[in-house]
Amino acid sequence: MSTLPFRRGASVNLSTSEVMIVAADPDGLEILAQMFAGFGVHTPRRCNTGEEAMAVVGERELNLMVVDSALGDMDGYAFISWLRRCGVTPNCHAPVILVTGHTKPSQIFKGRDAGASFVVRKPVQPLVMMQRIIWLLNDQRQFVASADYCGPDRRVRAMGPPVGMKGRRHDDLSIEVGEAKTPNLEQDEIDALFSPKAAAL
Amino acid sequence: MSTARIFRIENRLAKIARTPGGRSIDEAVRSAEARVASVRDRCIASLAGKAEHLAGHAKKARGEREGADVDGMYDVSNAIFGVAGVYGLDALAEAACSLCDLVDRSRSGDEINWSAIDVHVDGIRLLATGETEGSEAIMAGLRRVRARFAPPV
Repeated sequence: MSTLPFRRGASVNLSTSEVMIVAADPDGLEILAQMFAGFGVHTPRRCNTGEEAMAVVGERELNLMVVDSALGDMDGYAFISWLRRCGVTPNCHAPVILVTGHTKPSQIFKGRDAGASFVVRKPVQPLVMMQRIIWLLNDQRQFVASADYCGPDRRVRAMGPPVGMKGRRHDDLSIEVGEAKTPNLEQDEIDALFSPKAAAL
Repeated sequence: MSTARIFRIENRLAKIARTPGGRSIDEAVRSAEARVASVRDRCIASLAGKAEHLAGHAKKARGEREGADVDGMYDVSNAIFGVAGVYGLDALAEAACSLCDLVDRSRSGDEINWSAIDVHVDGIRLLATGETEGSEAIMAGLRRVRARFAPPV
């Protein structure tokens, strides 16, 4: 338990959350549904196909979706891409955890670029899933909608725009560093800012 | 360059999760582990059926590089990997993951090697019946096949 990024004894109340789990394999679906029931989700909504999941998106407000990469009638990536652009608010902005067994970098990038909020590798253990949920509870990324991408900001860390590209945000800073507008401080001026004091050891 | 619309969204999940009540994180994880364990026997019992399903897809897909049965092979081995891994059937999980990799390489344009796929399907069928005595020998064979036909990139 010590690996959970949460203070010990903290609580999470998922009893009123609406969670949809989508997976083609009935056993994989059952395992995830039992896991979320254990987390306290009252009745996780189960779907076996992408089509069924699309219908649920139009029917009820969802707070979290857990989507397997294999859905039978389509793949999980296609479902997530559809969700992000379907226009059904707030569901199209809801967090989505993509669950996949095959984690080649290309598959992870595909999931990220489809608009998944997080990718979790199979086999999924409850501790790992809870860690990802907690991460999502603290997720403050903005949402991006453009011609070639729709989903949570893929820049998880604030490292600025990609190298060699001009940022598209109003608060993206230029990579060029301008000339200093004021003279450099002398050491005593720096020391004064920190106002060092004698300390008894 | 396209114009991107960037906006804040309300984290409704966080709002709900932080309402009073619920259960401690430790308790939630323990409860989830217990519930997942409660369906162990049922899920493990279904693995042999999945392996036969996989063999059926492999038979129909023979000679194809892509199509419904190739996708079926990938999906079923992916499902076997997920269930076997959760319940600690490591040899079966590794064999299923290895088959996923082989099928995915063929879908991505690599030469498909049916002998390698057959060896994997046979190994998975054997391991899925609960055969553990020869599992190390089976896995050693599959690793050699995989190293030859699908070396790590």
